[in-house]
Amino acid sequence: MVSTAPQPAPQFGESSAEPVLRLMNVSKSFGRVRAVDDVTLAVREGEVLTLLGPSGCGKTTTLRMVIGLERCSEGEIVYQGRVVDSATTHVHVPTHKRNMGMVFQSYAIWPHMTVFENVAYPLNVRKVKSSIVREQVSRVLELVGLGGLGERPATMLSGGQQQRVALARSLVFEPKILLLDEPFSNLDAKLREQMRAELRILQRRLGITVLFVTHDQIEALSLSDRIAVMDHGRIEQIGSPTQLYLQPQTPIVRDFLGRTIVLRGTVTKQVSDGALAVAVSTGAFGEIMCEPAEADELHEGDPCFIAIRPEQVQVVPAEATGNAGTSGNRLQGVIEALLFIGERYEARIALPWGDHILLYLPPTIAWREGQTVALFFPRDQVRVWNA
Amino acid sequence: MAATSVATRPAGLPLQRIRLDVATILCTLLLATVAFVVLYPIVLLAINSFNVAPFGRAATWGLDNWQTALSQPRIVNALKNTVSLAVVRQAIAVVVGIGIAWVLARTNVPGRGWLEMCFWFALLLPVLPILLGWIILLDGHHGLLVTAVRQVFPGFGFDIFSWWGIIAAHLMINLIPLKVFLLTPAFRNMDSSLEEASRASGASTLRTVVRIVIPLMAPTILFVTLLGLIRSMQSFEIELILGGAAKIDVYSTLIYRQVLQSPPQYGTATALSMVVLVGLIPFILLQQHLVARRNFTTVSGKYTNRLYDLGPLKWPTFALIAGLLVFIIVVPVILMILGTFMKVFGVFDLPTGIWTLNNWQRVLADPKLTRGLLNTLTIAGGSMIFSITLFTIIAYVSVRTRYVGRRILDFITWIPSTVPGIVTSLGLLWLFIGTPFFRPLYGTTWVLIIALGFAGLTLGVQLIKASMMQLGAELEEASWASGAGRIYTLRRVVLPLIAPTMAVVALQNFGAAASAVSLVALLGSSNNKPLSLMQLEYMDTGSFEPATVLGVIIFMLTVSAAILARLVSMRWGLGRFDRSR
Amino acid sequence: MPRPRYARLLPIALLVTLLAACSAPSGAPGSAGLAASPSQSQDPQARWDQTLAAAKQEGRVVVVTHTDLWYQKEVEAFQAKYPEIQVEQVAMRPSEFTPKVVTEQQNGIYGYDAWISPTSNMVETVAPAGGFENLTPYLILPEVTEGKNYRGGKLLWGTTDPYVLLYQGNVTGNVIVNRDLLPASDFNSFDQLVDPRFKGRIVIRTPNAPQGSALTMTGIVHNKGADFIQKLMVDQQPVFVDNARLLTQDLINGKYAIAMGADTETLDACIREGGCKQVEQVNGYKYLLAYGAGVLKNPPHPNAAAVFVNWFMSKEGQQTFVQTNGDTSRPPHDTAHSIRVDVEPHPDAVADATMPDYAHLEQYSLQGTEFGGPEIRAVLDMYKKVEAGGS
Repeated sequence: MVSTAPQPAPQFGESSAEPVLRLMNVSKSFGRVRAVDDVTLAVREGEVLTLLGPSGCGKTTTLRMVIGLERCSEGEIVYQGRVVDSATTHVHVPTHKRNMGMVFQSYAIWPHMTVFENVAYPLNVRKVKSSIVREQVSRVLELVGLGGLGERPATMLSGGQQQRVALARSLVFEPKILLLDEPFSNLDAKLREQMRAELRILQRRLGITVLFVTHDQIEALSLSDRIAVMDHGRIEQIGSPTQLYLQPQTPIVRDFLGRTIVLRGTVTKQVSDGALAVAVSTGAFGEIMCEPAEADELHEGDPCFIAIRPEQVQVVPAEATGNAGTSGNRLQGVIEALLFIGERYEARIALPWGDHILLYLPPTIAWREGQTVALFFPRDQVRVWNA
Repeated sequence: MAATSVATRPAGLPLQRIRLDVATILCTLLLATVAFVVLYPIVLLAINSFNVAPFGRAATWGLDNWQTALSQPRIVNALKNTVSLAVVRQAIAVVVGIGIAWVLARTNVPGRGWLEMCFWFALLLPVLPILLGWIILLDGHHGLLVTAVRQVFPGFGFDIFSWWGIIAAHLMINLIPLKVFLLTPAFRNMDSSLEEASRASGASTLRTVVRIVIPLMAPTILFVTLLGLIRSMQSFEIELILGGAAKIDVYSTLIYRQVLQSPPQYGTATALSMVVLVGLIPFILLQQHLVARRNFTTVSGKYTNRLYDLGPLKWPTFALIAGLLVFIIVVPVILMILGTFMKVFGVFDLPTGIWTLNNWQRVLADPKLTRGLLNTLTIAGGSMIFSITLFTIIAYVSVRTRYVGRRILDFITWIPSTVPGIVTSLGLLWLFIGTPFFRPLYGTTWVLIIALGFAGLTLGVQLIKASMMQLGAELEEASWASGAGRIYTLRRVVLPLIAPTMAVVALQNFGAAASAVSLVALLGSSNNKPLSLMQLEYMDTGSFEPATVLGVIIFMLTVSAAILARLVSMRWGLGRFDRSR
Repeated sequence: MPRPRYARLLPIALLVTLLAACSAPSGAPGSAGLAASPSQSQDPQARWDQTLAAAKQEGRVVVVTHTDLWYQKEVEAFQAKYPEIQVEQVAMRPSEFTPKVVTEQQNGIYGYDAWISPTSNMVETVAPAGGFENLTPYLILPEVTEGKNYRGGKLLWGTTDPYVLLYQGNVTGNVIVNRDLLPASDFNSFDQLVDPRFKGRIVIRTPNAPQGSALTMTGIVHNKGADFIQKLMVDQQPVFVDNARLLTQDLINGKYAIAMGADTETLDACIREGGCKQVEQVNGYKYLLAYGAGVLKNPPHPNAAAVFVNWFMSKEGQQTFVQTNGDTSRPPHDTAHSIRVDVEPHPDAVADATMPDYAHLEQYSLQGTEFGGPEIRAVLDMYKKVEAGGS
């Protein structure tokens, strides 16, 4: 279902072209609060890089530093090879000279202007001839699907339309990079999905570089070429969506991206190839072989957590496996509640020692509540973490 | 006080903490200038309140003025009256004002644009002739209306020379129009989805107004109320006339009488004023504190504006407001204009007939009229432009920048309104004569423009500030991101969005400057004498009716300005999409 | 916050500063002194010629007057006579001009030459503050300096030192009665003002207001002593009203029976039109209100100031004054009279006896002169006590 092929983590200077945007050891403090803490990242030409994290993690502040609405307390930002903000040399290119497109969370549509006036604004600022303005605005309005709505007052639009206006306005002057600050958070679920797809198509078509900020992992996973997960002002991990999803390097990344089943256990032995055997719970219910995430730190007898994505757990009715019940990376459980949600079942499964886990079950089998099931944890999908 | 400003300075690099840049220097310059102009006169007056020598003589220092001021037996009584009158009439005015402002700004009541304009007009009426007009109608002894009602209901007794008379006169002449004037633009700048969300969750309209609209409008409402209370401490025109005969003392008339006697007792007047100033400081700080803590954005980047449909209540609501306006503007204006055609205003039986064109002929034939008109336009127009520019800059610095001294700047803008103008005018004279920076301006029209401009400092800055606080920061940021600098952004985004408020502020300054008297007399010269001083000259020679003619001319002038301001602000700002106007 | 962005505010700040700096400075002090001081040349005509020539050289004179319209006509007449001397008239109420001129002088600004107006403020505030020139060297023409040209046989000064020279004393003192309420049989004399029958029926224009009733009261003090006005202001429980117009309306409409400090212009207008028959003036103890002229300290155009003052006090100037005073106001023209023997008073002034007996001034309270000071202070102090007494 998901490609597991890991991409090497990119390093500066490794890619053929200079990145469009580089943040080097950037920090931002508000009083004693360190909102952004030593962030280093590079956005490559044509890619969608997403800053993902819970609210207050510093991702919006990072974006605001990129566009110059905030100044770095430490570090340096380089855009198209030019230092636009540096705490050490006091260089600071003001926002309006950075030539970056930005869509704000609340769209920031100017209510006293028509759609046309809103979109034409960046061109007016740049003193573009009015005939060209007309042409370019109508083209970009077509592009975002607002053709013919130019004369509407901006306040007379629906939320989705306002968002398109904001997008059109940030694209109309053909910036090198587009910054998106939670652009979908004000839309309803259905519209959000639609806009997401449209944005992806548009980005591919224009080949524009995008720095995208969201707290929604689905948005991040579906739109991004790469994701940087942030927490407490720090970047936890940067990588492709699959990489992050499947090989999270920190518990935060793991917990933040998708759902994770986490079970408490104890390391029982180290296998020669580096794998660990972990006894779940008190050890009476089975042993799981897993790949260590932080191998060096785990030894026999250490308490630990094992983690796996719910969709990686293979579930079969217990009767189908016979007595093999708890051997070979298997655990047993009982379906407590079963919810049919269309394309699949959502099942709450009680484990013998009293924990509950939530799993998805394929609709092809006739599941029932109270049924005993065998849960197979593929060895390469289970990670073990220090407790 | 300036704790929040730490955010502007990158932490961890101690060297940067003392780094200054051009903008900070400019803001400090602004702060210093405003503080100087505002505080210099007051501080000098305060020092001089300890000077007990007669005016103009070598200084002798002592506490006599303060003793006289504070030992007046009537002071306690006057304070009581002042507070009770102020609280009652402010309470009524704020409630009525909020109601009307909400209806005018947020509902589809017919003719709302015109109704609002009428409130503007009411505010521009000259107080004295209007008050005398009301007295002719409502004098408890021989008022036309009172006598008429008394013929039907013999026991009827209402006298405008009473506690409630003062309240009613204030409400009609001044307060209700002022509240509507100040509140309506703020109410208009509100995202209707905020209201709709409340209604959708089952709240009634009244509940929505009380629970959603009023809290969102808190900065403006708070400011308007506080300003109203402060002004109550100073207003004396109505109290002087109605309270004098009704034997109701208020604090401001005590101060007024100290200055307007011969020789004027500036020392005692200053001492009395200082008591008020000190007493009001906690309220100003409280207001700052309340406003600073919360976010009052009502115009965000996903703004929608749909008016509430009053349905069948549309016309009754219209009738209610129009009915109020009959008393606020129609009757006073008719009385005032009739008055200019009367031989003796208020005398209704003369054997030779009571009507005449002489008053108009006399004024229109006055060779100084054209010159006066031009001077009024120069002075009022100049101070309007000066003040609106200055106030917008101050408001912008205190709302939209993280300049360290912005709270202090904001605080200082409150000061002028706490000391009666009649007291500070002497201090302003000292300012313009005694300081090397302003001295070269003395004797020019610039002095009047600056002095009259600063007179509206509190109202202007606070009102513009409140309306800037309504704007979401992202509206500006989006403009910067689009490549526009601060000035371009100010011009294309911020100013249009606060245009209705700016129109109100500009008009208020124009009106106040056009009718200003004592400050103009003191700081002006013979070649920039405006209509208001001509009016005073007629009044001085007992020619009340021609003076009223000039009052009508000034009124018509300011009404034209009002219509102009209205048109401009409507074409420019949010109102351009409201097609019903 | 990217701070340099609002560096763009700089041009506005600069503009304001520039506009401010470009404005013309006001009149600088520059008293060159009189061209001909009395010690140098004893011949008045020679002195006059010299002064006039110097005045024309100066080319300008700044004259401060009260706001009454006749002052403007007076100034225009001077302008017509001496077209080479440009007259600038500053028309201000003395109560407003006084703090202005005193403050200016304290700061070294001397922008005015001569001042003609009612003299209370001149005498009480400006003269003690050293705001006037000694007028004697400025008076050159014999017709001005010779005492015989004045009623009473001498120049009449409002101050002990020769600062303010009076050109008119106007004698009044009355109360207005509503005869519908109080027929002449009930009230016809000032002495009745303290009659307990009229308790609460008297309305008084606030004494310390400009042109308030304090002056009328000085006449009473002068003749009946301070006790009388104490009775009037305290025991009679009068109503004090600030606005003269309102007070007058109240009297006409019968709200009160007796009024002190009514707006006589309004009443005259009403009476002239045949109305207000119920109101009548009851004359009583008189006070004199002085009008005078002075040259302000360090006049920028001293010779022109001298020319103006000499012309104003001359027969021609005073005749113009009586004439314009009559022309610009509505009848009765009871203030159209001059201190000069050779200037005929208007008949109304004679009829109303508003022209004082200059030979026997001691019968009046002399307001607007240093000698009337104690009486008005007595009145104001009394009112202050009444005011402080609570309501």
